[in-house]
Amino acid sequence: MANRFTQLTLLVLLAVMVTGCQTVNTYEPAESKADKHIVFDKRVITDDSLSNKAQLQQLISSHTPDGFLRVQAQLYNGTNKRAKFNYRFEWFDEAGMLIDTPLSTWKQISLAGRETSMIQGMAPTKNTVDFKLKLLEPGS
Amino acid sequence: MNTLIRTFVATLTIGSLFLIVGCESERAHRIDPAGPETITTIRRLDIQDAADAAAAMSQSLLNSGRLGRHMDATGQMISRPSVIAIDRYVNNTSQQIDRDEVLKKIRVTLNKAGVAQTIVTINDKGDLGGESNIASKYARENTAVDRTQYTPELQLVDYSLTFKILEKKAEAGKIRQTTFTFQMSLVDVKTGLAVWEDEKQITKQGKNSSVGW
Repeated sequence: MANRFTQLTLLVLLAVMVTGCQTVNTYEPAESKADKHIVFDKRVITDDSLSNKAQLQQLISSHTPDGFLRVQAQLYNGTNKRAKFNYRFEWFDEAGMLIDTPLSTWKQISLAGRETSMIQGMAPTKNTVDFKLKLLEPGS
Repeated sequence: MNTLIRTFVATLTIGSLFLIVGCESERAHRIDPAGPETITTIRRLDIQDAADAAAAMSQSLLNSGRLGRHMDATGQMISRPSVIAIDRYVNNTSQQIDRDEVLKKIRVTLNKAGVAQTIVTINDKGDLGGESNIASKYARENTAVDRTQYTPELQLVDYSLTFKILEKKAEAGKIRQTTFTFQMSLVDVKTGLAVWEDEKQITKQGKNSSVGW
């Protein structure tokens, strides 16, 4: 009886583990042809758990033909589970002042386990020179 | 006896603390309307949904490079804010949604970016008489009846912006799902061509509304 109970518990546990661990396989060209402008970043990590779920792998920037700065961040979910988190871009002018814009709202992204995804931010004015990317665990 | 009283007082104190903390969280307080503490409903269009849609559309419009550049009379490309008129708004959802919940945020973003200005003397049928009564009256008084002549101050519209919201509901057991689809087109009024179009979908799923997202 006890043996059967143990088997059942193991089966249920296995099922939970299988459903909880849905990861993504990714394929791309071995050599990228894009000419990326990589932005070297400075990090302030206060939430270690989040920095594993949302690993910032690369930060690139470019300008639109009109002169608006746009930034893309490549994020990687380092866990085997789907993870949700919130992000927000803040934009700064030449004087280092924060630019108040409806484009700076918190947004949510959901990544499957081991998935890589890009998030993009667009500067609200042409005189934007700097930015900050903030990541936040939902429900914090 | 002494120990019993102490235990009683300690339990009472801890209980009161829990009560105070519990009450604290339900007290009315202000939150950041652009932050992740807002209430998320399943069936309704929430403020963060409108903000999300507006941000996505504004970003796409700025990215397109369609606004803020025009040919002058000599055929030279010049930089000046595009003049936009707000065209037809179609709300194909089961709820009343003011078009400005989304549109105003886009207008603010484009205006602050210096690439577009909205004309407020033309209504969504293309006739004189828009959001501004005073400016519309001025335009009416200074426009010839046959509309062949314009005062130098009267602006000609470069683009019109059409906007549509759709809603799709689904249910599986107790789980409910609602998708809002926002569709927008920027139309060159001289050619009638939609020079920019985009769509943003927001899907919400769950059993009940919740605080935060």
